[in-house]
Amino acid sequence: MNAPRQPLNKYCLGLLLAALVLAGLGSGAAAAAKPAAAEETLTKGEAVMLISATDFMKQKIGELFSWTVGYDVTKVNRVRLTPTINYVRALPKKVPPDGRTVVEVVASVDDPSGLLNIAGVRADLSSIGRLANTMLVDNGLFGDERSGDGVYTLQTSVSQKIDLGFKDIPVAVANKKGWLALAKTTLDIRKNPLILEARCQPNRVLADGRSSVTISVRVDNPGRLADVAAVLADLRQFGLPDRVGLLNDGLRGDKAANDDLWTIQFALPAGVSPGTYLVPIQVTNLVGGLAAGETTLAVYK
Amino acid sequence: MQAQRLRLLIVLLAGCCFAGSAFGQLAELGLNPLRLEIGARPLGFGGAFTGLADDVNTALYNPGGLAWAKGISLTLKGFEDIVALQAYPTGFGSSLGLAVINQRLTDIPDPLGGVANSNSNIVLLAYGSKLNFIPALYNRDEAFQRMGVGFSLKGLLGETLRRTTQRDRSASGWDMDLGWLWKYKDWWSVGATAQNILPAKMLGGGEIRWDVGGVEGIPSTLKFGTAARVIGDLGAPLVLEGRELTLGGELDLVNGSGALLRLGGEWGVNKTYYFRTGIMGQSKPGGSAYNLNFGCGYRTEAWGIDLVAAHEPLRDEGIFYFSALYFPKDWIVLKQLDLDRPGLLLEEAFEKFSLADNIVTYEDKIEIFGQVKPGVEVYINGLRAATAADNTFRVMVPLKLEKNLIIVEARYEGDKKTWTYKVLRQAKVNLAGEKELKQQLDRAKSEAEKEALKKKQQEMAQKKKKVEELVTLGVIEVTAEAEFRLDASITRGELATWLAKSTGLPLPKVDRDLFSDVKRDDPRAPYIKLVLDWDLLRGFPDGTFRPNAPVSKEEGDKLFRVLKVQK
Repeated sequence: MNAPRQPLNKYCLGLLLAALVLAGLGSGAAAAAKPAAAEETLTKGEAVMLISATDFMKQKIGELFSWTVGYDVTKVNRVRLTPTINYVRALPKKVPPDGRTVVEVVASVDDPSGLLNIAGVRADLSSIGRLANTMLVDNGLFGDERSGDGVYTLQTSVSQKIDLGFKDIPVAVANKKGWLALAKTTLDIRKNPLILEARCQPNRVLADGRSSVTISVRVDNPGRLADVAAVLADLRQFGLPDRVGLLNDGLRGDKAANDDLWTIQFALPAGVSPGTYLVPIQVTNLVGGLAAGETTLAVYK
Repeated sequence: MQAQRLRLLIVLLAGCCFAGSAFGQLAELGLNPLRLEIGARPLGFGGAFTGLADDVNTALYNPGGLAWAKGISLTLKGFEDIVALQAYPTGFGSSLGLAVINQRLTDIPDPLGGVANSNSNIVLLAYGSKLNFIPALYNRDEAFQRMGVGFSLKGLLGETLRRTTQRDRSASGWDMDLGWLWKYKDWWSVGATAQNILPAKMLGGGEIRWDVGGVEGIPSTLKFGTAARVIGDLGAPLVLEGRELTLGGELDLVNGSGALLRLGGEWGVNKTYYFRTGIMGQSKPGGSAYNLNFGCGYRTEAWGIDLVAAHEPLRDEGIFYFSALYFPKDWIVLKQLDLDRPGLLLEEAFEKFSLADNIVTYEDKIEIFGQVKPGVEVYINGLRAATAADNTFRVMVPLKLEKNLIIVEARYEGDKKTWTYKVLRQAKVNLAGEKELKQQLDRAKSEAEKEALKKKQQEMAQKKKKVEELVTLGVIEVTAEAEFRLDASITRGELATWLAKSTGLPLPKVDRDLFSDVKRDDPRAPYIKLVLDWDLLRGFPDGTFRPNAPVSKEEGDKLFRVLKVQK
């Protein structure tokens, strides 16, 4: 009965031994393979040291730390850091030195780091008799239309002590990183208005006592058009009063009220002799400015 | 209208030239005691100094350059001739010049037989100013700041002439030079001089009167020259720090001798050592002579010396000149005016200034602040800094990785002065395990443990330094937030990229797939192609490169052996 069991036991023992041997071999091989695998790969630290030890890299590193090599204009950082002034303008461009006509200085600005980086916008108004360091605002108040839109505004006037002529208004924009941008606008300080255009419509008229003539005068006044005191035409040569005021009320032949066109309509008297007449025109304004001009009217029978 | 004025000027100058055309005893020998071509530096430059005119010698060569000159010069020729020359800045954008000259020339071949000896004593008074000294031109245009005009009065106090065949004689006389210099650019200038232009007998000058009777005219010369610093610091066409190459040329129209050409060059090293050479045309009886001059110089901040080997055309032999110069920085006649005059104010425009030269930093920006004198505008890298009411300024300048040059400029009433500052921005790298190591060191109790950790920390610091250098040079890319693992395996793709970047070689164009696993649009493809072209790494027989596979130690060793790296 025991005889057949012996080979089975031997077989089992053999298997066990084989398993043990294989297991032992396997673990030994794994143990041997582990350090070998770690040695086989190059680490980043080693690669850095090896690359740094190459001749070309040694030279580059030497040059990197040299204060006498490589510092030329190409090493200047040309990044844009200053704010930008898109435009600066003064409205109106022509202003009388009356101390009351409102001049609006408007500057549209921007900054590489955004509008929040703008530290301030200032104008030097010393050329028009005001403060040399006046702030423009972007808060929606004091003439500024909209808050935070990058359009800065300042309202001022020209001192009465200022001489006539062109005056520069420099505007400076500083940002919070300490950089500055400069621009300027020019104001034309003048008193006298300008007669842009003066004409008779029609310019050739039959002296029959019925024909109507319209005299139109286009005026440019420093400051506001509302400060034009009078636009006069001398119509004595036609038997009419010497100083007839032209109108800007949108009535009686004037096309629109309060524009830059002054008008008068009259009927040419029948007794006017044929010929070409020069009609003197005079424009005065509230600051004592004066402009004189004339227009031509041909009369026939 | 301008052309007419120019023509008139040329006619007048030409008239002046002819005015001094009467020749006599001196002309016979080829001597002109009022042709003052002395000074080791100008002669080393081949005499082509009219267009350069940038040191005290300008009083002799072109008084138009005096406005920019100051200092004292003492020149010796063969230990016999002495020239003492001085230029004093007045503080008004102008300088006064004074020279005392003793010239001796012996054994001059005499065409009448025998030899002649000449000894002359000359005093020179000069004045030169920038053109904006005219009130109408003041602060009008930068061009007027860059233009100088000047004159010099030269008095021949005594000329003694001894000729073998004739009786000894002595003479005196005086004449005048006019000069103009235009520093068109910081590196390029143009000049013109009319020398000895006084018509004979005008105001008792323009001629030499002999004690034995008789007079003789003084030959006039018109000189037109230009000079350019073609290599130099900022502003020069070719920027090479610490090196300067200045080239100059000049055309001289000498009354009675025709035209002479002069060419010169000066090579400067670190604004300290100078080497010069030039071809100098000189007139001599019956024609002209061209000779090569060689010179050298040494400069410190306030003084310098120059030496030249030139040629004496009358005796046809070599001569040496030695000059010593002294040019103190704050030397000025009217020092109290320094607040009002731009050039002087700008010398010390900054009351306070935060920036120092040669800075190494890890920061990506640097704050520059300071205070300037009232009215001074500050520009940094060409951008205007805002100054507050108390004249202080504070700006933030971004820095690029690697080298940064910061140009600081102070401007005042059209004048400017520039300073440069060098800043090296290094990349900052965080190493993995660095913090832990520090914590371990803080916690370590035994000395042995501390020592071991300190050693490890030092090794890590050394490796970190190398990593930072490679990142600074753009070989490795590591973001500021990321940690760099020294012990991580490097992949074949990474190694190829690092190697290619470290060589600095131009990247090849990749127009087809390199391997089945490296497509043409792979960002690593150009770097891999470069290392393949240079046979630093190779692909596998199966047509792959395996860019993501770690580099084996053996492969690494082989590679760096090729690159001659000693382990």
